[in-house]
Amino acid sequence: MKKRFIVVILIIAVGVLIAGYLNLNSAERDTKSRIDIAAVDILATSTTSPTIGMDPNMPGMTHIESAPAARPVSIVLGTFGFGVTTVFIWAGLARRRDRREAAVRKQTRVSSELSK
Amino acid sequence: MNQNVLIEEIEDLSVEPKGRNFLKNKNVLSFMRSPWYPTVFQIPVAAVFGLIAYQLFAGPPSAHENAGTALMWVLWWPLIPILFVILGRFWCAICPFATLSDFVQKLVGVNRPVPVFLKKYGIWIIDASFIAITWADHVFGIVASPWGSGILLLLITFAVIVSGAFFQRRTFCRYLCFLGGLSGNYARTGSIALRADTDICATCKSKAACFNGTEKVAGCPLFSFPRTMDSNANCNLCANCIKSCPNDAITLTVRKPTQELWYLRAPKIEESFLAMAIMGIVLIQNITMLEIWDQILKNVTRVTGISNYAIIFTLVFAVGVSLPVGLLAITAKIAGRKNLESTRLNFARFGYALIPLDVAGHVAHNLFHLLAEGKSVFYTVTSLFGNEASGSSALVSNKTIQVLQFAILALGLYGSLYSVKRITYRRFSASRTRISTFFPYALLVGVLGAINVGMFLFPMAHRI
Repeated sequence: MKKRFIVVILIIAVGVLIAGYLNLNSAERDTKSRIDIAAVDILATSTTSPTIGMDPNMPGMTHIESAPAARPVSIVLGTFGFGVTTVFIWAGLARRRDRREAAVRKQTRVSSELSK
Repeated sequence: MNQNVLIEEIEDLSVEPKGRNFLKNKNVLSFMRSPWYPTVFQIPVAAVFGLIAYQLFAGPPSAHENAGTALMWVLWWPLIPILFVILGRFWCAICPFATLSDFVQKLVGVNRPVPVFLKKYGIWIIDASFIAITWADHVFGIVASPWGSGILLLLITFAVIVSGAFFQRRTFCRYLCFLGGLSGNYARTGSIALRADTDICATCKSKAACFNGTEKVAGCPLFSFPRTMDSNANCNLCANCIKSCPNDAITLTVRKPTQELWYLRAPKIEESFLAMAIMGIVLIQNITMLEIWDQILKNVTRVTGISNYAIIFTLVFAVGVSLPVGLLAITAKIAGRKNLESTRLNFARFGYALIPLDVAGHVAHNLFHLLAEGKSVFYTVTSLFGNEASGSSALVSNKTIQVLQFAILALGLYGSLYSVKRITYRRFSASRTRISTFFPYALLVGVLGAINVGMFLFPMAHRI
């Protein structure tokens, strides 16, 4: 079962690397929209688009057009990584404590049975 | 209470009939017992989600051009309700988050029992999280923003990691996942059911291997005990029980769609509430993509004097989600006066009957995105390989989509009406009680069906 998980993780990693390579290539090309939208454009009727009388500073408007540089990817992923590491360490310590307590309980039970 | 009423109202306690057992087929049994099931599906799904995650964070910032957004919201999101209806919670068996939870559990799992408050209130947490995510989508932008979608994915991933690290089995999937709650409800309408042959289980000496697992196979990840299981809601067809049962007691049968809803014995109000809340959410999702949405916003601004979009949307959202819940509560009160069951029990029991219409509305809504924007998946994914394809994103014409939507709604309407009838007839034996119970709920199904049909008459905006 462990081997299967390692295989899964490796495949994800390879997939991400391939996607990263391909994305680097695509970023160099013209980013003009290739999709001819037939119906009403979501940005025109989007719930986040301003209309007359609406608050022009409403949240959610700028997120759609934000350039890559404006997205704090490293901060977000760094925070996520920090959180996951904390969880792993906490869980690892908790597991070790649980095992120690289980060993002590077992020892106590064996001792009490022997003393009988 | 009138003695005659007591004598007449005899509930039908017959159990759900079983259909043909697929596990009698040696190939199917052998495949499901194989160590590669369901891993053979988990691997490609995990790879695709890895690509989605990468694209959402590092891909083009515009939803039109982002393969992650297209794959997630134009392909995956519309397909999963259909999958829930056909194969129950099978998605949960191959979900990358579930796989991640198992992996984290193997690495650092503390395996603490599920907290009592989660067992009691988990479904309410699921209700709240589903509503919160939909609200956040409209106020902050999730679907139309790769960045927003990426943040959502990250938050879910973190929750899954915490759950896998500290609690047993797939606690997140069972008690916290908003999609799990949705799938649990929708899976009840499904045509496939995994159950145990209780006659064989009665002589079992394996100490509940189907639930506890064996040395080689884990126990049920969703804490279900096949011997007493009478619902698809918490079975993800992972086949752990099929692999661990030494007596071949597990069956995988085909049945009539929505059949499970007719035989429910312990209706839960929180599950009915979820079904109604989802219907409200689908109504809101529909209306915000129509041209009249701007007019609604202007009218609300004019009446309330509030111009802040977040506040206005919250008001409209609260009304929209409360509408089906409120209508069911009123109907339950009216029916309760005649059938002498409490409003709460009426609400709980007959909320399930509305699940077929719920599913139909959801599938019909997402069908538009899948069929009217489906080619965007092809364009954005092939662009990763240097292919500059262009053209309409529609797979079929809007007229075809509309016909399919109405056909699905018609099926949902019929399914709900028939379920109301079957639940009524099973619970009440007196004809007067049956009629006075059936009609209010049938009217409710009609009203909600008409609202759904009305929505689909108008052209809808694209998602990306």
